[in-house]
Amino acid sequence: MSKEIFKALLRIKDKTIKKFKQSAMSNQVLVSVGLILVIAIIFLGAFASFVSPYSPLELGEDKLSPPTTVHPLGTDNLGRDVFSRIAHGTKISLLVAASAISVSLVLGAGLGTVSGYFGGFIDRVIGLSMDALFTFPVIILALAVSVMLGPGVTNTAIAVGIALIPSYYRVTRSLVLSIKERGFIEGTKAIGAGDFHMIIRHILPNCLSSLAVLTSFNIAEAIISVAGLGFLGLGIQQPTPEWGADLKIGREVLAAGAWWPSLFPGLLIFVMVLGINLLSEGVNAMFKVGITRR
Amino acid sequence: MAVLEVKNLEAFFFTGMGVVEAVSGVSFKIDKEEALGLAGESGCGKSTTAMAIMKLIPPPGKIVNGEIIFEGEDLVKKSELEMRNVRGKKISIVFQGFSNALNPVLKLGDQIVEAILNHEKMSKDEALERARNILDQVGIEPSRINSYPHEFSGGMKQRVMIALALVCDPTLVIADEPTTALDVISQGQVLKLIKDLQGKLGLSLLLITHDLSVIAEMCDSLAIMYAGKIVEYADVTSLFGSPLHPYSEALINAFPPLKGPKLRLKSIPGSPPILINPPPGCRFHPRCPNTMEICRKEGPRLVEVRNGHYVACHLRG
Repeated sequence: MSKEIFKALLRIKDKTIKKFKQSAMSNQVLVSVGLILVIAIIFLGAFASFVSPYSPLELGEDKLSPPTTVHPLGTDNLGRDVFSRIAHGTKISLLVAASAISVSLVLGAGLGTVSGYFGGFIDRVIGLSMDALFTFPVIILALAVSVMLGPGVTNTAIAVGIALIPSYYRVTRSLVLSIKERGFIEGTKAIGAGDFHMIIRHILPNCLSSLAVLTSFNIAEAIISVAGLGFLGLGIQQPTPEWGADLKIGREVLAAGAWWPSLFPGLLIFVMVLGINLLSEGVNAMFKVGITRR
Repeated sequence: MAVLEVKNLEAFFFTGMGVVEAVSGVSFKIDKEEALGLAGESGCGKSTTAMAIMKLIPPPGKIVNGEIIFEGEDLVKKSELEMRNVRGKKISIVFQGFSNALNPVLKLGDQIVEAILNHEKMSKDEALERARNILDQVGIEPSRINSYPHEFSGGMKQRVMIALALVCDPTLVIADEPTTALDVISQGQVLKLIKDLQGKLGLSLLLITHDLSVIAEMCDSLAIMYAGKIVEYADVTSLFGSPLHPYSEALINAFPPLKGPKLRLKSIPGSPPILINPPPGCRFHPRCPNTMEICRKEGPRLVEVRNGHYVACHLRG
C-alpha cells in the first residue's frame, strides 16, 4: 500500500518538474531567484560593517553561546559573533573570488587568443601546457599552487586564479579559431589592419558573450575553491573572517553539540553557489551560448 | 602607364594531398581608369589571383613565382608591414560574401572610421564626416551610420562594402564576384553603382566574375581563365565578337541569346580539371572539340595574334 502511494507521489513529482521545465516561465523564475540570492549576499558583504553588531575579531565573554537576541547566530569557541564573522567573511570571500576570476580571465583569455590567432608552434606549446593543467580538477590545482605560494589572502586569489586559467584558455582559443575564419576578418585585413588591432577590435568583442557566461560558471567554482582552501587550512588563515576557514573552526566544536558556528558559513556558501548557478544557467539559456561545465 | 601589371604569376596551395596549382603563369595589365574583367569557371584561380594581388592568400597557399608590379613597385617583394599600407589605401577589394564581411558587433560608422584611421592621420570627427560622405555616395542614408550590420539588407551591405573599399581613395579596386549573392535587381543597382563610381573617381577596376554579361556591360577588356591559366585576353568587343580560343567560344555560346530562335543551350562537356594533377599539355585538351596531337604534349603560350588580342591555343598559332 505504502509502496503504491510512494510511486504515485513520484509520478506527480516528475510531472510537475516536467511541466515546470516546459513552461516559458521556468527560465525567468530561475534567473530571478538566482539574482535575488546573489544580490542579497553581495549586499550583506558590501555593508558588512553596517549590519554586523560586533567586530568580527572581537573576543566576547560568552563562548559557544547558541543563537540568542544578543548574538543572533550565536558565538564561536572564542566568543566571536558568528553573524558578524560571516558578514565580513562574505566580503573577503567574494573579493578573493573576484580577484581570482580577474587573474584567470586576463591570463586565460590572453593566452587563448594568442594561441588561437597565431596558431602553429606557439599554439602547440601553450596548448600542451594548458592540457596538462586541465587534467587536474580545479581544487587540486589550486591546492598545489597554494602550497607552493603559502597561505594568505593574495596567494589564495592567485592560486585559484591560476587553477581556472585552463577553462578560459580552452573556450577563448576555440572561439578565436572560429571567429578568425569569418569574412570580416579577411575584410579587415584587406583594409590594412594589423594583428593587434584585429584582436582588440574584432576578435575579443565577438568572444565577450561566451566569456561572460563562462565567468558566471567560474565564479561559483572560484568561491568553492577559495572556501575549500580555507577549510583545509591552506588558504585564508584565522583570524581573518572567511567562510571556509570559519567552517573549519566550527567543525571542531561540532562534536560538542555546537552546530551554529559551522552551519551558517556552510549555508552561505551553499546559497551563494546555488544562486550563481541558477543565474548562470538562466543566462546561458537566454544567450544560447551553449557552454557546458566540464 | 599601367597601374597594375601582373607578370607570370604562380600561386600554389601546398596541401597534404599534393600541390594545387591554382594560378600558374598568369599575366595581364590594367591601365589607369581601365576596367578588366577576369572570367572563368569556379575553381579556375580567379579569386586566388585577386588574393595574390592583395598578398592575402590563406595558408597553405603561397605565391611561388612572378611579379605584381603596382605603380612601379613589385608587391611580391614587399613585406607584410609594407603591404598593410597598400591594402585598403592603394588597392582595395570588395568580397563576394558580404553577409559575413562586416563585424556584427561593431556599428557601421566605427568600421568605416577604422578603415580611414588605418591610413590617414585625422581626427575621429573628420573621419566620421568622411564616412557619412562616402555612405551618401554609395546611396545609403548617412544617418544610418550608427546602425549595426544586421539592420541592413544584402544589397545595402554590399553597398557598405563598396563604401569601405573606396573610403581611402584607392587607385585600384578589385571586385571579387561583387554581385553573386544578390538578386537580379540589386545586382543591376550595385553594378551600376560600381560603374558610376569608377568613372567619377577615375579608378582602375579588376572585376572577377563568372557572369560574362556583367563583364560585357562593365569592362573595357577581358581575360578568360581556365584551370589556373589565362587562355584568352583581349578587349571586350573583339573577344565577344570573335573569340579565338575554343573555351572562350564555348563559354560565350553557352550563354543564351535574348533574341532570336529558341535553341538548345550548348554546354561544355566534361568538368574542369582538379588542379593537384592537371592534364599535361594544354589544360583544356580533354574537353576541347579540336584537340590535336600537340595539345596533349605541349602547353600553348599566350601569343598576340591580332593587335591586343592574345590567345593561348595551338590552333591559332
